[in-house]
Amino acid sequence: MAVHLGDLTVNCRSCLSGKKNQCEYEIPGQEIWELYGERYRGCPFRIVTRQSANFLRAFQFYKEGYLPNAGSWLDQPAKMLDAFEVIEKELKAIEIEREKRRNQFKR
Amino acid sequence: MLTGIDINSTREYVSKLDPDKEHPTVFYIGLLDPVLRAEVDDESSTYEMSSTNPNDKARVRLNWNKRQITAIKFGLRGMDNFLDPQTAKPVELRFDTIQYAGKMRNAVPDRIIAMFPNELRQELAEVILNESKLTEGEQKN
Repeated sequence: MAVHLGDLTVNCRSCLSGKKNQCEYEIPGQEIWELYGERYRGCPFRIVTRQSANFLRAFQFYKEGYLPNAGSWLDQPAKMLDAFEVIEKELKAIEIEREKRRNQFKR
Repeated sequence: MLTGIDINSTREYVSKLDPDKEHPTVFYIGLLDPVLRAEVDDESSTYEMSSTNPNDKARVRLNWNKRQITAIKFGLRGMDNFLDPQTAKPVELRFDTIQYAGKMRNAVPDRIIAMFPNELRQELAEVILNESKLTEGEQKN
């Protein structure tokens, strides 16, 4: 979910920093958000855990060629490498979806 | 909180079986690297399928105890207030350094693991192995 949230266009920054107390995208009494076929109770931004956010951040550095721990790929935590695979897979799915959308407008 | 990123980070864990609720034993659970996790997973089961007789059934051997011991040996990074059953004094955990899964690693000595009751061993091993895996919920998140 954390990967897909980066693709959303809604501006949630001020809400997440505590400046807003009402979400204009949430319908009162209907807290179910549906994103990419998954249903979430409450704002999906608030559901993302610190761990997922950290994995995403580490993934960005990894893409630049930096690993968080000294040593090679095999010296990193297995859990983080699993998370990277999930992120990579989700990013590919987003890219395929974008490509499909772009192709709809091509002649 | 264990973020799953720093390979040296640990998470405190108190056993559900600990009868002393005021001063429980605190275990420090660490993360496994992929080679270590694969070694632990491979140790859990052996499949034997090749046989000259086609009527022979495949043999499956599950080595749960060995798996638990290996997980604790390399996944437990420390503990506080664990009492030696013989002396009733807190055990001082000094690691052995041994060659395992491709490199020199700190390992909990066998004599310490032998002090853990079977149920505690099972519990600790599960916590250690779960800590190094992405749960379904974590994957979705």
